[in-house]
Amino acid sequence: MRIILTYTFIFSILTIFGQYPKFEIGGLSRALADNSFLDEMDTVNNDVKQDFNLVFDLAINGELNEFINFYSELRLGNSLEVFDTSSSYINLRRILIYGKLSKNTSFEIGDIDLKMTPFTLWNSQEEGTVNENRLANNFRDIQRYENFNNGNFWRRQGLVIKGNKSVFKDDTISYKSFGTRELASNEISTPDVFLYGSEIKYQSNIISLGLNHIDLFSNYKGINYDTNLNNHVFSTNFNLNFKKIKLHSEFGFSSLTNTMNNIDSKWIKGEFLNVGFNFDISDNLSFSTSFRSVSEDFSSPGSQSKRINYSLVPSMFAQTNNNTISRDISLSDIIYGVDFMRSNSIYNRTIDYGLDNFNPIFGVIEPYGLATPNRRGVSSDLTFSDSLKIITVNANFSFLTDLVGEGINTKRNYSNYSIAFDFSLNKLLGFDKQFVLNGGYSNSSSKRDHPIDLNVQNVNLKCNIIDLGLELEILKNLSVLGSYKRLFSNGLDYLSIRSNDFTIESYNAFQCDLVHEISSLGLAYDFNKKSSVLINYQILNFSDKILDNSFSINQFFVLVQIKF
Amino acid sequence: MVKNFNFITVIFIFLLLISCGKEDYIGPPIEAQFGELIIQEPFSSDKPVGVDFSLNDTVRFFSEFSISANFNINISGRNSGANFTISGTGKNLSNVFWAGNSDNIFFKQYEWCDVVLSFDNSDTTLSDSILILGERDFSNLGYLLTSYEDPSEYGLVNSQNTTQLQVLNNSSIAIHGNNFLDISGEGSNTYFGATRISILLGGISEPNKSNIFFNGFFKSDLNGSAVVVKMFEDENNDGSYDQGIDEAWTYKFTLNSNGVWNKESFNFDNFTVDQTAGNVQIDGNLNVGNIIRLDVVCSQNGNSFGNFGYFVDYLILTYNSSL
Repeated sequence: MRIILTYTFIFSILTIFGQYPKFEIGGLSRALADNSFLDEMDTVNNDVKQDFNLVFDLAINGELNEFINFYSELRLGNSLEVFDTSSSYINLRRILIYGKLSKNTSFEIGDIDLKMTPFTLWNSQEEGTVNENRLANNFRDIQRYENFNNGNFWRRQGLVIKGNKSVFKDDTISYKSFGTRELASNEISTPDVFLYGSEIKYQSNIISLGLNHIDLFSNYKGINYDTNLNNHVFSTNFNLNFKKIKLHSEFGFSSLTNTMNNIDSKWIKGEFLNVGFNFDISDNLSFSTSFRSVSEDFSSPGSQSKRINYSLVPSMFAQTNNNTISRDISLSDIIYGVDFMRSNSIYNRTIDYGLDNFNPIFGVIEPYGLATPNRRGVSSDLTFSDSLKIITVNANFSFLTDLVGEGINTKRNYSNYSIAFDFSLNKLLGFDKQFVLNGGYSNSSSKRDHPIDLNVQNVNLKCNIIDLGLELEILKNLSVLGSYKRLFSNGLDYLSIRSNDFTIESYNAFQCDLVHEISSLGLAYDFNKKSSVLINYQILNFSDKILDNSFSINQFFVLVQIKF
Repeated sequence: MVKNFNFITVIFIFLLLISCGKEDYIGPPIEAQFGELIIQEPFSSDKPVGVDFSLNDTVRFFSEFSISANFNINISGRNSGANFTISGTGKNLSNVFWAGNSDNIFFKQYEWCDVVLSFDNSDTTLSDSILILGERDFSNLGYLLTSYEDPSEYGLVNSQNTTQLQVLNNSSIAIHGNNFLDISGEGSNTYFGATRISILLGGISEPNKSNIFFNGFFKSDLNGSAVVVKMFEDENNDGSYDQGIDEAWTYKFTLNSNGVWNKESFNFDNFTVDQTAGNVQIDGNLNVGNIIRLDVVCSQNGNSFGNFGYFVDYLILTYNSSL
């Protein structure tokens, strides 16, 4: 009620007295009904269902005056499960004041989106994607939207000031500084934690040069807390653009301590280097490759924090087989665990000090993205598309090693191959309706052989993901959708467990031999380009030979989406 | 185009050259946690017929393993119940030895000890046994106050509430030697008698009080029993403690009433100026060189009526670390 009154007040005042206010309204509406149930062997767990949770997000962008703008997203929600307003709610999803401080300087305050470079501040994509079709993409998009994952940006609350200025004719110097509060002090034992960052960049048609700095730090003054943390990352990036070749590079270092007030405290320093190029071989074929080396002590919370909080349990059927076996977060939770009413999402919204948990069934080659510590090697990417866009193929491969051995001089060898394709059969066959096949396969492995006299099993962990999808438009705007996703992972690896000072203190022997499958069938009707209804039924099959556990989850979704 | 490729190639080669690898590994050795432990040399010691610690002899242990393992050697006395644990990491026991020291109470002369070698993350255990021919002399670790073997070392002071104040002779109970003191009292008072030990001026060779530890062995099954250690300075060097002129220091601790011997240790920094029963603060500085007397008082934790007391043996001041 207070939010509505505030809005009404602001609107009224600005409409009456202001000559300036200009408002734009946009938004979207989604309604989701779903029902999930375990197979008949499980007689303990109840079905999980939502009876049409309806949300309406109203976005208002207002130019309040020459310098100040206002953007907000107001969420109105209801569940059609009850035929009254008892489950209705209003939330403020986002509020942002932005504008200009001068001709070349602007500011944003409120819920800001921040991104720097993959080694300083970067929200890496969640695991498990190769090339999903529309069925899964619909839900992935919702998950990302619901959890404020806009590309590789982190949604934070704070202030950013940025600007740019030309030096010569075709160049600019741009700069950006921001500050956010990551954690509020409880005034007793938990200090305030802040994130500060700044970057300055010179850019012309041929060359660009940037300097970046970010610091996650705590302010322990005034509380009973005798340690302090600081995690600096400094980097510089340098790019060169030739006609068809674009060179890119970034190198820098991190500096970490968590005992600032201790005179003898040591700063733990890590370094990284990343250099590569993109080559547009022809209009239809492009190739890129890069070499990177990230030291074992490189600590960058802004780029190493994970999008998924794997320390949580799945929100749906956390225990299976009549509540006897716990399960970890897996593909289906990441994609389909949508719940508009839920507050405790498995999606992480915090930038953490230290390395987050991850689920090794998705592979261990780069659980923290490009900034994964203790990695060195080459990654390459090849993209082909024919001139009629009938087929698009993307191939990617990476060969990495440990920069330094973990628990043994021998280093692990990591590899990852993936290939993805989109095949527009309608263009090939001359159909006027959509007929698209798409698919993808990725194979990730880590290997390390141990000497026989060490009497320790070799590292050999493999992870494979298959994506297959079909979209066939059978009537105008009515499509049949099918998808199949399979993750099969097996082997053994010894995962390092790090202490607060980033040193490895022990290992966790991770062993798995499992298959996760999602077989999905759906019908989609597009009212127009922005509005659709999707009906979807799927079976999730889980099989784990190590735990001797297998079960199935059946899910039924009805999803209505309207954007305006 | 060729020029560009050459440029890129040169950069790559340069980067590969400068980014040289490290030889050492990080983290604990992987085999210590996950290696298959195979005993390659059986567990043994170099003293199969016994060890005389009173001659400063030591026991060396031998064994070899297939992996670098976290090992523990637990030594327990069959009669005394004394224990000592040695922990380490390695593929053998080449630098592992035992000098007769214990974690709590002392090992005794002519006692058989069970020695068990075990490993973290493994069920493998190996056993041996050692006979102690002579006890280790700990008095060289500091200043031995008394072990109640020599009556000239101590005096006994009683009060009207003292019910028991007697040195008993029983080598199977005593921590060290044959004698120990049995002291107890009844009432609501806090003074039930004491052991009084005279100290020669300058007898404590360690001048820094922060480096000195009081150690003693106590055994009690009476709830609420406590010990007050009082220390007296002779600041005017007249050979005696004078109330109002010299300073007294006190520290009180509660005893565990589990009925077994417990080692109690505390640092001299814990002493505070005693300002009770006519004692006053003079300069507030504890000068170790002025100490002439030390009383170990039988007391209680509160002031309720009851029986309080304990057995006490082997009182010693050690330097730099507790016993």
